Amino acid sequence: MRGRAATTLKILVFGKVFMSVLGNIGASFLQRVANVRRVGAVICGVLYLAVQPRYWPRTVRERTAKQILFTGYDALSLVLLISLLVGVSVVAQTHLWLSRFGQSDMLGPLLVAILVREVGPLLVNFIVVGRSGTAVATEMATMRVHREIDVLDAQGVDPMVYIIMPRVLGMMLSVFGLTLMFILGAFVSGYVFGFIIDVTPGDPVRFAVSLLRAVTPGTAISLLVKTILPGMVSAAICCIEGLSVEGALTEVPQAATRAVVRSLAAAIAISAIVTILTYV
Amino acid sequence: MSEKPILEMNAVTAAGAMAPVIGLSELSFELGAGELMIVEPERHVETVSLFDVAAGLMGPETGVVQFCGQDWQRMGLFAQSAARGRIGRIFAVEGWVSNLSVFENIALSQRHHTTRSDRELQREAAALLERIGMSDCLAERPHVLSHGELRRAQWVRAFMGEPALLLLNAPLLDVRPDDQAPLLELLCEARARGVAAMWKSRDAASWSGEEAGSDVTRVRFSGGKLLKQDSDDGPVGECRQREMKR
Repeated sequence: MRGRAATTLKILVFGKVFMSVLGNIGASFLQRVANVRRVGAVICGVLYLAVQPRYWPRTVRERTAKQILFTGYDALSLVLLISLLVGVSVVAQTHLWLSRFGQSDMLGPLLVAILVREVGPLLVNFIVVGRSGTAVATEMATMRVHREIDVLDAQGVDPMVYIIMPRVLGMMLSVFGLTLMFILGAFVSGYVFGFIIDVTPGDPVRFAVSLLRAVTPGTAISLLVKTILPGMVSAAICCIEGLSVEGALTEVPQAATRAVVRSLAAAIAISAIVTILTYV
Repeated sequence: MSEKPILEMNAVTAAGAMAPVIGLSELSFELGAGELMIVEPERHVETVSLFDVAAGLMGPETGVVQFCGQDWQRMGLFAQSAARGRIGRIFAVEGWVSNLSVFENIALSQRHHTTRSDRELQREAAALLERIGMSDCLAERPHVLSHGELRRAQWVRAFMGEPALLLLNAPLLDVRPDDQAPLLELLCEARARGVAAMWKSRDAASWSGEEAGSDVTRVRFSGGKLLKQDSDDGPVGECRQREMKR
């Protein structure tokens, strides 16, 4: 009798723990769905506003230009430096190994697959999130703490138009432009380094033509999606996290950390999903 | 001048945004062109919702708030923003965007809502600053200025362009008595042009309001209601003191 009661108790405890774990997983999943919906709503809102000329007064145009200057132009030297290093390792190594296996013809498609489809967009997204995402989230959070958002709103300057839209569009355009520069830099540096160590893949024109031939419409679409979408998503996440601060200064660094972690996770997830869709 | 009141609240009830912020309870009043309403809130009670409701930033739970004859709730988002561009506001705390210069702050609303050139706006801002006895600080960041200077610069921002309504929250806080006269002069002139104003201040009881001209209503904000204290019914031009409905 006592043994039966103990077994029932064990089952009850196990059931409770199991339900609790299940509940936590469910709550966590629902929270993630809500986050995705929030980011989606911000992006849709930005796109809806951006196509209407009346939402582009000079203040918003200037903000967007400044965002591109800060996120795109100011990050160019860093992106080019990293692209040079990546180019040296990837292009030269790839050519070296392919030529050993007698597969030099595959150099163009392989480099395009590595640099254009995967490494380029992902690395640039990481750089932009680390450099500008933190700045955006911190700025938003500080503005919220000092009630600057209320000041804008009270003057009829819609924060969605004046603060969020320029950042989302600015980061999106910057990620796209920087990725193009990264790819170009990597190919050039890889070719030059190969030339130096005497594993050059033929004359430069042939090398360029082999790369261009490897660029299919699918590659172009993949590049567009992997730069434009994460750029917008990262900016939206950083704005949301920054603006979610309730009013204490101590929340600012926490918001910035959350923004960076979620932006990086989103960039990797988008990259993986697009890659899967490309090859399915 | 138009007969429509600049600001009209009709049986407005609104909850405070946060716990210490008191809401509005069945509030009804009209504020016509050129009129000034001095609101003295209860001590230790935050009443920011009154101005937020007046500016359409916070929708009432019941009742109607109209600005220049238009119901805030029926305006689209763009129209709401444009309408708020015609409201000059002084904030009790903070009130500045820290990453913009003083000029960019002062001219932000005008640059956002109008196509007036920067040169024209700079001239207007510099002239207003000179009138209130401030040196040219347009290129500075707000944090460089003292509290008193920031408060006076807020007056300049509120009067930029041609606002229809002024919502002044503790507008003389931190302003030295010697510096107050030119600010009140600005208010008088604006009211003569038909600008309506609400002045909310905890020390309003000690301020007669005469410096700001006639046609002044004094009310006490208590328990979410505006309780009338006294009024000066002397008409100024077409500006006529309207009876409080409640």
